[in-house]
Amino acid sequence: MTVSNNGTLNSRVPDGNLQDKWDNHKNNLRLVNPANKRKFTVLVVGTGLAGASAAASLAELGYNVKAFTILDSPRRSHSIAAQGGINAAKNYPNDGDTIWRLFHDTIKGGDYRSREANVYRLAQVSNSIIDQCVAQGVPFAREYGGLLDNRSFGGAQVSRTFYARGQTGQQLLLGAYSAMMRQVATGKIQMFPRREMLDLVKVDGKAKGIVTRNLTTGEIERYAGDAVLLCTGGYGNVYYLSTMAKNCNATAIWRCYKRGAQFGNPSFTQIHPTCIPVSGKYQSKLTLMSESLRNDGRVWVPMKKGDNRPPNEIPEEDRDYYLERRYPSFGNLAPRDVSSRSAKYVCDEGRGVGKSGLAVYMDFADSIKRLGADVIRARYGNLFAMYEKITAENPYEVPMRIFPAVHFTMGGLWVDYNLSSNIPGLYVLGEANFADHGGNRLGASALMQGLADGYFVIPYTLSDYLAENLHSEKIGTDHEAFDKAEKETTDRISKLLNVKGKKTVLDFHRELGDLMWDNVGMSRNRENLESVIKKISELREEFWKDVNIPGENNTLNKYLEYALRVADYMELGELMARDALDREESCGGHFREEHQTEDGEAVRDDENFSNVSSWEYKGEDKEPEKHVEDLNFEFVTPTQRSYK
Amino acid sequence: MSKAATFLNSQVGRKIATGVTGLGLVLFIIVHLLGNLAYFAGPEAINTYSYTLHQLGPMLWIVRLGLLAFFVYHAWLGLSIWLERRRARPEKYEVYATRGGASRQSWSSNSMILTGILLLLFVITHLNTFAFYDFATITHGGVEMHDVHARLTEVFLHPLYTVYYVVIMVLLGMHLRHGVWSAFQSLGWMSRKTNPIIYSIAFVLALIIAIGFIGLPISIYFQLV
Amino acid sequence: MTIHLKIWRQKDSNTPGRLVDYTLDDVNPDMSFLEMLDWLNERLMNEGKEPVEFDHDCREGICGSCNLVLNGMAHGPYEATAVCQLHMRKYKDGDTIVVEPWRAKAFPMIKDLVVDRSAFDRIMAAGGYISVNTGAPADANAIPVDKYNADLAFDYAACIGCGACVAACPNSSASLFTGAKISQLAHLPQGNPERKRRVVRMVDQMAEEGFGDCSNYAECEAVCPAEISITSIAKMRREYFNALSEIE
Repeated sequence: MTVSNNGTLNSRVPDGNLQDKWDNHKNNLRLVNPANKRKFTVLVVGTGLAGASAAASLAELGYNVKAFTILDSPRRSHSIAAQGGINAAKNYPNDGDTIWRLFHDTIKGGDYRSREANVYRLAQVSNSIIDQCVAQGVPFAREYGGLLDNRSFGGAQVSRTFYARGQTGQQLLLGAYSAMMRQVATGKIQMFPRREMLDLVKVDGKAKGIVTRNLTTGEIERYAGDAVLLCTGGYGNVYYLSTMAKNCNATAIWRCYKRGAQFGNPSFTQIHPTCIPVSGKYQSKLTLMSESLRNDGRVWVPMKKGDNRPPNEIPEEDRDYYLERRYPSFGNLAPRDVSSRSAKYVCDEGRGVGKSGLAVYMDFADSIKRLGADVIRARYGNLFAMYEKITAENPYEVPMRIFPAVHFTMGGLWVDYNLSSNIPGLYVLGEANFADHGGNRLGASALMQGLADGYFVIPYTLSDYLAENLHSEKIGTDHEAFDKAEKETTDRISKLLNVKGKKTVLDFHRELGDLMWDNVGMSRNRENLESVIKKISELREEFWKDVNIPGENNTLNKYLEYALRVADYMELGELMARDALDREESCGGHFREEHQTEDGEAVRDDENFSNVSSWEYKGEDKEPEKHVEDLNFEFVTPTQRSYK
Repeated sequence: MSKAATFLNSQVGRKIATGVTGLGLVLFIIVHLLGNLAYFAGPEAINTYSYTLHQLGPMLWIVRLGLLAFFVYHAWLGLSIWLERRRARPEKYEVYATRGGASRQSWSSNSMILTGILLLLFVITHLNTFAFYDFATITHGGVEMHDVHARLTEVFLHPLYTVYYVVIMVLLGMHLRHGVWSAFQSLGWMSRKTNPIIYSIAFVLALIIAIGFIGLPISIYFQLV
Repeated sequence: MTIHLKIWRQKDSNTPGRLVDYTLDDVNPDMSFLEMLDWLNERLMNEGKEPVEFDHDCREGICGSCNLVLNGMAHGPYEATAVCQLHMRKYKDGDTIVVEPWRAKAFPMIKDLVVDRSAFDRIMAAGGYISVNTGAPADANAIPVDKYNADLAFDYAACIGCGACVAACPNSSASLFTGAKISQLAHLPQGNPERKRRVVRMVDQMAEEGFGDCSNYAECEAVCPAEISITSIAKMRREYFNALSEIE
């Protein structure tokens, strides 16, 4: 493995005071005049919060936008499933919130593995996001006086989370989607639904187009543009089971990686502690139960291994409220990464509950006794109903069973302060980039980042790049670079279809998922990581020899789409393991067993790892090259997190 | 004018027009029912009632033409909406069922087109039986007038016609059961709270109208009056 | 448990489709309906047959992708439940389930159980938005909205755009979908200046897409996984009537 810092990673963070960086930067970014804007075409891949907000904003400015989604409508993008809320430093409750505090909570929550300047900008624009969404008609929760309501979330000491019942992501996405549809009506956005980006087209080192597969007809299509925006979300589905939607995938970012875009911190994965546990092999995805439940639920497992009594028959003295025991000051409200890991430990000890032994109890009996069932119903009624729908158990009477599940990926394509990847013209927004959450994301921050990138960052930074390229030659789809990319894509598809093996794509994905979950999941160690890298590469070889893909290319064929995605997961999974192996420290969601205190707490290594690992593809069968971007903390001092 | 045409041709406009004409016809039906009830007060009452109506002269004709227009328009809207529905789903479900719950699909709503067509045919025969009938005359209080009472008695002593009439009035009740509620919904006079109330009122109203109309022939046939 | 399935198979819109019988004898009651279809597909693929295509994504009832008519009911027999949240324990051993796609002229067939619902996007493009550019709108709290109207707006905004309303409607009307968006925006002060133009354009687009008229069957409300009330349709009609001046 080669490690270099050869100057390819210029974060382009502007100079000056943290508070002034973004304003100064905006003052210096070049502009494109209105008459010239219509000469540019921007390709936006993915139409979740980041993509829809970017597409709408750019079209409003006058650029020609072509927007692509793998789904049948932009409104179905997985941002829609976010429940909790969106943070902003409005300080409406007058509880002392400031932009600085939101910045500081976010960077601390990320365990000091994100860029100060980016995170500060995120906090700065957070307020504009709320203004924008309200103006679009997003029905945020309000108080009787008609003003916006806030709630506390994710361990912050202030109430800064705006929410729309338990469907905040849905309402924000529909807001961005409606802004986008308005531009579709004006003709400034051309929508391409049921299209999957399968390659990036580069000309003279710059991103100049994409190759997509029309998922209805199988046709390989070419689209040329002056810039490409990847807004394709996270890659949690590498683990097979996650809270991600079934169609979320890594193919677009992975294809760009293989065209030279660097991948930042691929091993940084968030595992959410409160999901409904797996019930069998047939399970296709996991469902999140909002973190807010931990305000009133007590988490426990039986004291003794193999205690199979029903939970209500286990007396108090035979229960282990392990979060309260290990973290007396935070108790059941310990942060996501810590809670998840603790659940894993007790299950590893054989004290897990339920049929699979991979679950812990979250018990509301005490709260119901203290507050009454009606209060609990008012707070969590919809969540309890959802739980009952899925498990057929009544959480008012029986403790919920929960288990951690993959939820978010902090890693993603490396971007600079302008959200540009190291390939000029290729921008990466939202969860697809690595930028703002460091080693661990705080609750209600994903929605904030997606919309910040799309509404308030990219419209400024993109113009800088386009202004520079005003006079560069327009590339048509007949350019040889398109020929080449299309041919490679077509070959890849035929190769896959011609394997005609015995195992289904699902078989392979499940196997990969098990490998990833067991070895690159909540707890990682050198030995396992080294062996899993080998195992994944063996599995990949087997995949290309023995996968069975039904049907043909020229019709809707979801298992072919799926196979193409799993093929990419096989490679990405390996990179994640490599990154996890390389990062010899524990930070945020990345926990290396070699780096812990005596009582099992994470130990960060700021001396050697206060940096971003950014991986560059070097070719088939070659090890990727790691580049390092040092994180310089000028304004905050990293401290060790403690929740004891 | 083209503005009105656009409005009336829109999906919402068509529904509003159906509702307005429908409610208009319901008003007529109620007045008609009240008129019928005069039969129970004896020959003089109902004959005088009929006579008074005829004295309206041109006004009566305006009302009649208005009613005809409402009726034809209502029927045409119903037919065209029904035809549209066949076009909007060219391939039918192999199995189709209602979910129940909030659904207003019922024997009443599902047979609107059928009950509507039968009512249309009935009205034609009904006009022939009564409105265009060459009545005998009778003198009440020195005024010569149509003996509507005698005609009614004659008609409803006939078993077949009575059965036919009763069946049609049951169909009318069915039509109104969905129709009255539906008109309010079509006109936008509906909120979550009033929805179940209006639905219940529609049921009661349909029932009263049907029973009211059925009461007369039954009473005559069984010689209860 | 054993489940007998009769699933609509259709190669494309030009080829006639038909119901095909399948029997699964190892259905786990904890499976969701879609997981059972995954299970069936795995089996079909192992037998060298073509799997059944169906739309799905989030599998938690919010994205609106899944669109199956089960024994004649859109999203199956339970209220407020999208088919992805329907679990097999709700069925009995030996049950037969007929599985069909949404059927409407405005939702053209793509393959098997997958149809094209882009008509909904076009209705939205016709006016389902508030015209505000990204930039600096007034402070979010500058426009108070009373809680009653804010909550009502939310009730209508909860629509997941699945199209069950159209599928279940005997007339294939899209009134619930269109009415929900119009009602959401009509209950908010934002976007008031374009409120008349919005309703006229959206209603026109709805008809243009080939959806049928609404006959107030309310079946849409019964099947709506987001429990949108037909009051939204009444509201749409009021709004349309009030927009007479905007009609050309």
